[in-house]
Amino acid sequence: MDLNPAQRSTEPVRRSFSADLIVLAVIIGGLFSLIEMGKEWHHPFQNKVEIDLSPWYLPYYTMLSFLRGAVAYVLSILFTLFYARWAAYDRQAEKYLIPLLDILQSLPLSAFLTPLEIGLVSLFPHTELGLELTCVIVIFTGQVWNMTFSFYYSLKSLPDDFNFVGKLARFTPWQKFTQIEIPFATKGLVYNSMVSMAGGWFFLSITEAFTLGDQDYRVPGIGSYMSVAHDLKDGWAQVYAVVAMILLIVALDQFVWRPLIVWSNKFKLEDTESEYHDRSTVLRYLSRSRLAGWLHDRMTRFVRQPAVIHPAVAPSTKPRREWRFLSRIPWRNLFMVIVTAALAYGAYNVILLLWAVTLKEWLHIGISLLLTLTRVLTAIALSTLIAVPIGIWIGSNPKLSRYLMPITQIAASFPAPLVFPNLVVLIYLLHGNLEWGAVVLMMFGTIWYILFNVISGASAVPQDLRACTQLTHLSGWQRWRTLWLPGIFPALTTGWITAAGGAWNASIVSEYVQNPDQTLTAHGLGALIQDAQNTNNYPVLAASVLAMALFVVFFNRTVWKRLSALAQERYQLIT
Amino acid sequence: MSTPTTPEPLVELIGIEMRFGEGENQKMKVLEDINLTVHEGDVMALLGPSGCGKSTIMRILSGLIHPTGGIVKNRGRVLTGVNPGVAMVFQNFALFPWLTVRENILLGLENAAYTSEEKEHHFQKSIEMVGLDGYGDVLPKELSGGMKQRVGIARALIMEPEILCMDEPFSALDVLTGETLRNEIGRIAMDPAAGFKCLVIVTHNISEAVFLARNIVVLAANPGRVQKIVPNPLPYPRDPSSAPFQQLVAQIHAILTNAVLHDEPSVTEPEIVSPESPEEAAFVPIPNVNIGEVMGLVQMLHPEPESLFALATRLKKDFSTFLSVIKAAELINLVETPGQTARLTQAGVAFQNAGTHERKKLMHDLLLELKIFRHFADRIDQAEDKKITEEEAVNDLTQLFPNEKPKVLFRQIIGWARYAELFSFEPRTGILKRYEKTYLGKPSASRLKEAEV
Repeated sequence: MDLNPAQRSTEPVRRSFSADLIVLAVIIGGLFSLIEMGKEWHHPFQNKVEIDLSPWYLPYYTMLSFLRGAVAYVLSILFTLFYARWAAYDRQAEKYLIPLLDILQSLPLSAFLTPLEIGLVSLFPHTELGLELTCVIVIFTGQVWNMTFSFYYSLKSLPDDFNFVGKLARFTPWQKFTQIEIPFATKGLVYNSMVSMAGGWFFLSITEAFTLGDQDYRVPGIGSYMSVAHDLKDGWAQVYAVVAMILLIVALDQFVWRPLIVWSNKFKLEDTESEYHDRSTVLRYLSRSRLAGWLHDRMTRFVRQPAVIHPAVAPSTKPRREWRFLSRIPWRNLFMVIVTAALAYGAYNVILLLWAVTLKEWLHIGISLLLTLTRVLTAIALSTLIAVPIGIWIGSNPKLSRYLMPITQIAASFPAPLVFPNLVVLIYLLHGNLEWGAVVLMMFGTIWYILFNVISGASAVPQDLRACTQLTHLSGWQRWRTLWLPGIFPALTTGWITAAGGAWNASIVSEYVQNPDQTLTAHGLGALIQDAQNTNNYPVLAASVLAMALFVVFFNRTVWKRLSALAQERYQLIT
Repeated sequence: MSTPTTPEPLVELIGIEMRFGEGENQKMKVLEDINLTVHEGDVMALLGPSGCGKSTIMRILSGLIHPTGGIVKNRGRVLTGVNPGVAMVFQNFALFPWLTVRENILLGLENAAYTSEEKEHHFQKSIEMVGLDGYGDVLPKELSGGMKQRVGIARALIMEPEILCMDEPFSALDVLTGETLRNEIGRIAMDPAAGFKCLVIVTHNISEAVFLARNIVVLAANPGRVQKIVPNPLPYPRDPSSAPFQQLVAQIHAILTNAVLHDEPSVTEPEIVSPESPEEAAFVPIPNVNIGEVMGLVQMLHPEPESLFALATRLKKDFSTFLSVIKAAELINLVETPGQTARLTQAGVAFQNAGTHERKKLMHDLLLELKIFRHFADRIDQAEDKKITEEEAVNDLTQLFPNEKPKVLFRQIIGWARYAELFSFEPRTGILKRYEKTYLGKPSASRLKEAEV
């Protein structure tokens, strides 16, 4: 798998036996974890798994939570490879697939938790599998969309020359996939995977422990540990859980994402080398291991062979058609019929449900929507006011940003809802109420996205432009107006879009917070959805979710898309 | 520009020294003992090979960066912040993409104590001077490179600076556009209405310097220092095809050749040899040149000497870049440079006549003659497992060449050694060892790895 690798690890490597041992330990540990998870999933069904609050059990719970994320991630990758390739190579399907993806991305899918739960639990009534699958699917929906978009755009922007090389070398589709498409998409895919994994954790606290009607459900994990600790008012246990979560994020960053990012740099298409070298101590250590080297060689041989599924594919002289099975007419028509039928059936059911919603309830939903919109926009505005000056200050100072950028990244990955109940206590101590407090909660989720993007935007502002503002003697504020604010605008819009998505999702958990003594709610669509879930009011639930989804899509189309188009058009810094 | 009767020093650089990088050992000296005075009415060109710090000097005199040693004086006063009298034209234009041409130009007057009518008047004057009237409401991205640079020039002119600094203003443009713009700069520099008192231009193009400048500062690299200041008394407007012009160009070629090649004492003043121990002095860092270019050069040369300048013209190469290639070829002993000429050595002739395989062999032996390659070959041979790590190699280089970027130098060495089949280096593991031929057929694990690299 190489494609003009401009890779230069400037670090020396020596073979080491201890590295081999560690690699071996990781492999065995991974297998053991999978077996544990399998056992867990095959447990006889019980609503409420007992959670032991002893910190000694916490690594085990953390591992289970992580494995759910990992399984969801594997599903996301599979979905991405299939869906994005299909959309990229089938012109007709592309017209439907991409807008559909856009809508799916905007849906607050955690709101479908209840129907999903009911469906899956009734499908597997005797094991924990139903509950576990629900968790995995909710995490999956938090991860998958931007990865799919990333792979799709990579495929669409694949330079023709590479395709020609593939054709001239008589690549089989498998070879083309592993040696052209995947390497070309790797950089974007790795970066988006990192973002996705963080996004997947967001609902950790409500997927692992939740209420359906008068039933409480719980699967073992760090989220349920936290909620039990909160119910029992065990302060230390809550602290342990937060620490464990942070450790998990840091470990993932250090042991998975950073090595992957450094490794994926070899797929950079430009020949120029950047000033800053991404470094990874772990990757360097890993490359000392003979075992890892051997595995790598095996893998390389595997992906390089002409075909995996059909071993002896003779290179044909005829031009190969992409995805032949999809372009065969009967197959595709059949597929389309099935999809359409499923959609129609779903729509029919939803309409039946919506029929039961009264005008008064619709009005209530509308008002709640406006209230939540106000909160979302306020949270974004306040986050912007705080994050932009700090972000520019950090980003314009290379030394500072080198240290603080990874920290904001980790803060952005932390699932804020995990600590919402604690924050609410704080808000009440300060004599606030949840009507406004919810905004503060949302900000805990949104501010990091904005900060992170502003820092990266500010650090990309060219030196020459900064020199120019100095030489024309612009005052501090003038510099901000002419250079910094427009300069970070494209990055800021990216941050806003991510933050807005996060804030809408967060509304479901921030307008409705359960404490052991009381349940606090604010008026808003998020609270309405939660309430409908708890009271099994499915018509209102469907109507609210639909209203939120449609509005989010509408808002994305009208406001965010235009802003980001403007940013691309006018404020892009590439000269 | 007016020529005052008594030229007044505007900016003085006194004993400037500049180091970059962090850590005690890593500090790389880019400028050493720079003494320059820019007078009113002067047009000064800073000329030199890449890496001589000419842009750094310009940034120091404009107060954008501060030297690690020495003093900058502006009109006799020590400069602490940004130089108030400087406007700058940048190599890559530095236009704000979100501002129109008009807004970009008016940025220069943002804080001037003018009424809006006066600003408008100045705007009209400067946009006319660069010939862009009518383009005021256009965004920079709609302009061609040449027009973008005109906006950059107008933005500098509107400030009516005492010192107009231009940092390689034509090198991002194609040759024809660059030449047109250079002629216009010459015209503007002569125009008293332009309003600046002196012009400092950074360039690597000799005829550009001779065409524009009254004083040409020739710099030498590693670390950057002043080789010679050449006054240019030719009357304006200058004709590049005239004999005196050509003569001056040739003279500067000679100085630059000396600055780069060191093969004889400088024309007027002797080269200052820093007192190093003979052991260290024998280690010569290899110049930052692609080995392929050296091979190409050897292909073009003859055993009879040919003038360097004529060669550079024949090869359509920028002169200072060409000189570094010559220097590299001379270092490997393929070429010698008597006076201002170059010719093939015996080894060079042998090389020219050899086939691909013998060439590699020849190169292999020639490189081993160089102390730096010998050093690493010995290190590898003496090592127990017949290999050294990149870290060790870079450490050695840091010790041997405290003024060089060790990692860049290392890559350079790898590049040359790979061609000569002397060493092999695997970036993934960072291991440097002697090159050994692997034959086809048996795919050994190490070959597979090599193939990935």
